[in-house]
Amino acid sequence: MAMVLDRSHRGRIILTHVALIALLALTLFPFLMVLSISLRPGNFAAGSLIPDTISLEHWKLALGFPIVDATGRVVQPPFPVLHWLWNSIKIALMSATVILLLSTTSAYAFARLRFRGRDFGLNALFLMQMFPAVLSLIAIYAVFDQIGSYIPWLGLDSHGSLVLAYAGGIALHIWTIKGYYETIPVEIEEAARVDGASHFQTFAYVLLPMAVPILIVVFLLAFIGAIIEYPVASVLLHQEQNLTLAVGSKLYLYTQNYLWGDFAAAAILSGLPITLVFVFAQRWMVSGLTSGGVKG
Amino acid sequence: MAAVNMRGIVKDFGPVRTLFGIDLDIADGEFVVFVGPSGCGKSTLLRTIAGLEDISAGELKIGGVRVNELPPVKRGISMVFQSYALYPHMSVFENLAFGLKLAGKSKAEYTPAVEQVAKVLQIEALLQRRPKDLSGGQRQRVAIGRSIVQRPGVFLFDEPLSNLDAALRVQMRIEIARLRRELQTTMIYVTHDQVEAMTLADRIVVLRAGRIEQVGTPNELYHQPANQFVAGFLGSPSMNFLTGTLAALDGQGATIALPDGQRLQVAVDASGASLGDAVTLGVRPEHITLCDAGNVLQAMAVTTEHLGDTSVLYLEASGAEVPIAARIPPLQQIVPWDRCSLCFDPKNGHLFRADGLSFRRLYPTIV
Repeated sequence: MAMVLDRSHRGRIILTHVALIALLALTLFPFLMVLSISLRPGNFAAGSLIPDTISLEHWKLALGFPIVDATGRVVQPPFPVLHWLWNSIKIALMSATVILLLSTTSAYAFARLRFRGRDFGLNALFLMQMFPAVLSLIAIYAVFDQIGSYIPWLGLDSHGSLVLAYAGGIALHIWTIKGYYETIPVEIEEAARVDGASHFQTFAYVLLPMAVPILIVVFLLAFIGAIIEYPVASVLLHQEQNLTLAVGSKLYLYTQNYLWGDFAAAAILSGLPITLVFVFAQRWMVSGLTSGGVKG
Repeated sequence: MAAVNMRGIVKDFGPVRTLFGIDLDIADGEFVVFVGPSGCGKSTLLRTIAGLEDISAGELKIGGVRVNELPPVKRGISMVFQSYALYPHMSVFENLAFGLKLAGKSKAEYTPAVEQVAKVLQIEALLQRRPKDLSGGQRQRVAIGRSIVQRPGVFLFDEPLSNLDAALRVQMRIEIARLRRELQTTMIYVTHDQVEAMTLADRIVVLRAGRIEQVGTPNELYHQPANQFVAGFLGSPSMNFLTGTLAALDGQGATIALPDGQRLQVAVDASGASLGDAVTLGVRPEHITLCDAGNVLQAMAVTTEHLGDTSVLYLEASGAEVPIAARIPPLQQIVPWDRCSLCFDPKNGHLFRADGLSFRRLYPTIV
């Protein structure tokens, strides 16, 4: 159906496109820089955006293949980058799952159940989240050091400790999901209760299926957060074999030698799982799942 | 099928009391309609019967069993919500089957039940659709179907038709009346639409501010309202009220003097009152005619509404706070600010005491 448009409309469309392209260029530029650095021979941060010669040496090292350098010497990959990537994915999947489980259930309690201390709990969670995690690094270290002497798989230098630490940061997710639950008409849950559903059945069969889009968003945010997190992971993980990619890639940048090219290749690799999960999750992020249940 | 008995039902929301001791007995198979203005507690009362709100004090029995402490599903009730409240992520079939599935029935057991209900409500063709693909009327049918399929002892309807447009509302009203004949089940129906109340109900319960004002058949309430509130609530346009004082009493009824001295007669038994008492005279718009002999009231025309089959004339009269209404034949032209003579048969008049209670009418239209 053709809509009647103002004459200045065309001009505005062109302007909007120009603005959007400028914004895109600005956003994409750093990524293209990193890509360029990873394809450039040698380890140089500066240089032209389009490399004169393309070299795959950094990518080979990152993916675990030895290379032959200019002097004919065989260089073994210095770090287990793929292993770090796997660590990152494993920790991110586990912590996103734990975070989702905890935040959906507690958000339901905060949104729908009436209990003493409900408002206080919500606000307390929110305030605690405002406290920067970096400032509590020492505390986190000390706490997990203690835990480790009782439960080794949750102690320092274990992936369990990192998952547990990340699971602490769910206040914002609880608020997000709670806000979504509150947009779902309460009559639908009342109808389920009249139909004979318990609180848990109402939650599992009626509320959760309607909340899928927001759950996907929270899962993604938690996943991304865990993949890119540096401070807590750098304090809790020590052995090279245990590191996440975010912590591990820092090893390329020691004071005597900044291996920018290798670092860039690892950085791009760390973006890979995020992209894959996002592409996979996108089809679940359809809106309008709740439409039609009640009179709008 | 079940009777519902309420004894002193009280509901408090924190410090706010919304139901002040409701006593009501609803017989097995009866269709009872709760009406009242917004905030009168009719929906709250329905929700306490459903078990969606707990009862602060009093006793509720369904089918002779005390159900105060039972969850909705164990009360043998089902409910149709104003907003339909369908499960948007389920097909119509799954919506209908949800309760049976929760009750542990297998697919082979509940499928015939669902299909039979779908047939009764003529939604068989829609079973695989999602609620968002249905029209308002179809959604309402599904919502009704979801409650029928449970085979409850008591149906609860919370303003089920208020979201539909006028034509569909009439159609669904007839449908509900038909269902009621077929199912022969107790039904409790909340509405603010007095046409629904008058047409569907065996008995109407008029509520105001958490208390029952009157319970009776539609005709009883219309012709013998217990008080001025009920008289004014039923009927459209509503009953006209003129305040005045009691001027004379005789065997034929009472004579009322309006503030400007006009005298009107009403055939009521006002023997309990004394001359000079402040009273309110009530007469329905359909009982007022334009004529100048008999029980005459002089008033000034304000405006006329032509409704097609009839017209409503609004007039300013002595003792009336708002313009009074008179139903007059269609197409009759009245010039605004004309003086008009109105009259009505004293037998059609009502009289209310200062506290709102009715005097007994000498010639009630029904007994």
